[in-house]
Amino acid sequence: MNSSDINTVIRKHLQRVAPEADLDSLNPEDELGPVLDIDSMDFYTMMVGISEDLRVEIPEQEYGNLRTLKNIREFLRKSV
Amino acid sequence: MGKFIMPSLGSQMIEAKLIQWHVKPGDTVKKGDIIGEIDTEKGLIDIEVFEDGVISKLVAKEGEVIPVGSVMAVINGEGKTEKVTAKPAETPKESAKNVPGNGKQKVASKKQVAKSKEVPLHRIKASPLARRVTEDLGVDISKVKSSGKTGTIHRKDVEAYVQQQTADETFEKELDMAEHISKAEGKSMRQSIAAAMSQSNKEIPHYYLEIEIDMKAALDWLSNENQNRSVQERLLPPMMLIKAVANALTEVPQLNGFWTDETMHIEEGIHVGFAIALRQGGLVIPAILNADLKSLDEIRGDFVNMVSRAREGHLRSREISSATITITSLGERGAEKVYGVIYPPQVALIGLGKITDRPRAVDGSIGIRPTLSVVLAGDHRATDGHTGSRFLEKLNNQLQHPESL
Amino acid sequence: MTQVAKQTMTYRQAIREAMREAMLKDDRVFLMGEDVGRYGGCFNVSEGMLEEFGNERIIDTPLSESGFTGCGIGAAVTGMRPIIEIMTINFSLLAADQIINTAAILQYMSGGQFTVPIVIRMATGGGKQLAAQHSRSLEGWYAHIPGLKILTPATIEDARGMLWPALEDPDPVLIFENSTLYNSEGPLSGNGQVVDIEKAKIHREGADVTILTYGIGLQKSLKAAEELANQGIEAEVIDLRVLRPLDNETIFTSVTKTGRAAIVDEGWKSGGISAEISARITEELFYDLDDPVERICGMEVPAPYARHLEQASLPQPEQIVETIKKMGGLHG
Repeated sequence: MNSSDINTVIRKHLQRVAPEADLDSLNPEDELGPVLDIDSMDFYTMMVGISEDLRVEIPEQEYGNLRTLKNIREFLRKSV
Repeated sequence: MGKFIMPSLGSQMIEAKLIQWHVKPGDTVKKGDIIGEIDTEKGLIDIEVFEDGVISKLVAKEGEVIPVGSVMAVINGEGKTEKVTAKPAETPKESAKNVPGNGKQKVASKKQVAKSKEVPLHRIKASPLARRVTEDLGVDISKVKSSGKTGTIHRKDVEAYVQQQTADETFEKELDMAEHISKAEGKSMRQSIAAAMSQSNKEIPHYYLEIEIDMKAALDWLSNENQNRSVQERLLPPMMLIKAVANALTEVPQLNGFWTDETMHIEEGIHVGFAIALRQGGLVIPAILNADLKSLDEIRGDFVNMVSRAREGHLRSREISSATITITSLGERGAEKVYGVIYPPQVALIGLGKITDRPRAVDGSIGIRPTLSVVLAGDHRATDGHTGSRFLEKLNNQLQHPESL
Repeated sequence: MTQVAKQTMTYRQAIREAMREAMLKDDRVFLMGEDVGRYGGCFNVSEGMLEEFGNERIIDTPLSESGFTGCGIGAAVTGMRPIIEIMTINFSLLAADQIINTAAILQYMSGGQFTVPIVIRMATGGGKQLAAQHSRSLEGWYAHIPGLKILTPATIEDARGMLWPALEDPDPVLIFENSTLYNSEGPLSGNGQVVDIEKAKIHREGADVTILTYGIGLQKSLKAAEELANQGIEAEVIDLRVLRPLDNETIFTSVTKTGRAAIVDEGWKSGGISAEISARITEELFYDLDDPVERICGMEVPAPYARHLEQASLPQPEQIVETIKKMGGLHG
């Protein structure tokens, strides 16, 4: 699985919880929560979706780190 | 019933737009079937029908804005398909013309009802167990419908009937409450509801009680529990809060119910409403029914399911109007404490703030603990500070023993 | 928790072990029947026992069921503990007068002066293309007779464990071994614990329907229960174990819970043990029944010889599943 596939999956689930957001204008270092106005339920939904699509387990200790696009991408590249 | 009216799905709602019908005249519907979608200020909501029957006439037009309480459709309750001459979308004028037709249908229904009443009880085919259950529960067996091919009534048919009755009664009660308010004040229902909400702060004497809950035990337990769970099954703090609130309410039931007719009506069922913010703006408050009887996993399932449907606009009307108490949590966005406004006719609201690390005295020295600020808003007509404090104390206890949630 | 050493054995081995143990423990026990000695038993159950116990205790008889059964009764009355083996239940008809008119009522007719502590073992059942005269299941018929105790071991555990309490019983006990079970194999824990000869046993719990059965019916019912579970119906499967006296308590408790019952019996429906159980359930639990009691029994024909016809004449798991699925209170 290459980076662009990972990105597609991340985008898909991010767009689901923030349908009106303009993902292209996002800075990879932005804190997704405040910037896109998504809460812990949204994160949870996203993580479930990503974990199912990419068949990767996301240990709970990681949650705290997965708050920016950059961190999510890095984690997934390592794990997939 | 026979008439399907625009439901009131929240104290603030006075009207809604019918987006589309999912049925047409002649369609057979079963209780619980979704027959259309309406657009309220709080988003798209699926409307369900509360009885079995055949759609006779669709009075409301797609795209029309309909006031709460107005007739949207006519349902023939006998389950027999009769020829409907009216077109699906009728103007009020046309439906008036069809009144003689309506009248004929009504007479036909009456005849059928009379016939079924004449069937002597011993000729009703029912298993001995089914009969005994109807006697035990005080149910009229002639009203129970058989689901089988032979027309014999079995135990599960009686059980289904009883469940339906209870649900119908709840719905009737809700309608009654709204109608009562309007009768009492001589206003139309929609005006009263609007008035009730906007006057909530004035009419409901709110009292507020705060407690800072040490969440270490709960969060540690949660983190431990989640180690063994896959992503899809993980528990989140709101789910624990819902269960803890429900459990606390079993010990302090005075906060679980409605203030109507100048008195407190404590409800048996504990249906915890949870306020969910919608992206388009606005709030929906679906309820998790019988939260005290459900396991944490069942609550997790319900919660996840409802949040996603709420945000996609597919909540069912029943889910919006059933809460006996509400939790509102604005902690995500940084608010440390939430002083909320009670949604009448409920008598309490639980506001949850953000979980932050605070210094606390622990075993004689100062430690840092994740702390949740809980603010209970109570209706002073229904309960007083003593009851409120007892509730908060019980809630705290629940969260200090997360393993028994 | 300490694990008790488990051995596997066949049903026939289990019976053999039970007999050996009884004969080693008690000098009064002996085995008598056709071909039980030199031949090792027509179903190989007593293989090796002649060599071990000698011809005074393992006795080959002439072809005379009435004769040697009567002999056994006499031995029992005078202080021995005989195990009489009648080759199959079909031939027991020749000894019916001895069993029913003497063994069953001697205690009664003698005012208690004589008891008949006899154990009669017989192979029963069909399914092996042995045709009409050699394939019957008449356990239910014998269960009609007061004075007799009727056991139907269906498991390795019961095959191993029921013999000793049967021998200890001061009254006549008939043990019916379904011949299809002789080859069946299973685990046995410990050193062959003694089981009771009074109660029925629940092999599978469920809340939707009670299946009551015995003998070969147990395997078929458990198979049917698995299939039913796939379709969302949870069956409670009960091995009756003792057909006379029936364990009313276990039966009634279960049917009260589920509200419906199905009886699986290889014997014929008319006037069989299934009819007796059905009548009892209706008498006791009429107001707890959500559906009439169903019976899945052998077809009312003499056993066919052709394999496919014989199989069709016996109750099969598919039939059990179909019958239960049709019960009104379950489907929909």
